Amino acid sequence: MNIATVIGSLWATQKHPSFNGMKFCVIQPLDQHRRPVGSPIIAVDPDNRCGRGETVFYVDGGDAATVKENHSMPSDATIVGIIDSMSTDNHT
Amino acid sequence: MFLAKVVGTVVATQKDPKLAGLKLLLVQNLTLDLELTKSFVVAADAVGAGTGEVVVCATGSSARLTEVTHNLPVDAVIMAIVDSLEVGGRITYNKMNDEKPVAAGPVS
Repeated sequence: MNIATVIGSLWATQKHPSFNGMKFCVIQPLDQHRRPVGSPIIAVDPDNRCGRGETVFYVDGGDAATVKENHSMPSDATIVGIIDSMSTDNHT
Repeated sequence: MFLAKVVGTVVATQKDPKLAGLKLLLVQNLTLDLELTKSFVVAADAVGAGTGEVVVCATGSSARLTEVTHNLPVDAVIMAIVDSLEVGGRITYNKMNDEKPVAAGPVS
């Protein structure tokens, strides 16, 4: 899993039906010091919980498709949690 | 997933037999400011996208999880057509504003 910050939202009415009721977020992947790494990507927020500015963690690759039990979706980046706090050796 | 613009269609007569009937589109990656980048991908279409539309593509094994791509040898699929995009509180794309005015036809 990777961490990212939510920087925006994307609306799409025409989408694969497995995404019905879910929100798409624009996220910027971060490193362990919360510095941006790489380009922003689009991730699906299956429970509609995320808002702009929040730090989240997400799964990527084939595992992103099976985050919801008994429900596979053509997603390669799925948000699975919102981070309340995080600490490394010298930083919080 | 990544943001892309449909820039063309791909026609191939000689291909893996499983791909028969699959709609293949050429998509060009976009930045969040809707600027075209230099990278292209051939993607299968699962939502009925057309040329000029801004779409979202999934890659890797997840691309095989739509009805039209189930168990097919594809690694990129268009799974949503973008209506609008908001980044940092600013709407950077709105499909309604993007549509070209329809030219008036000849009066018959």
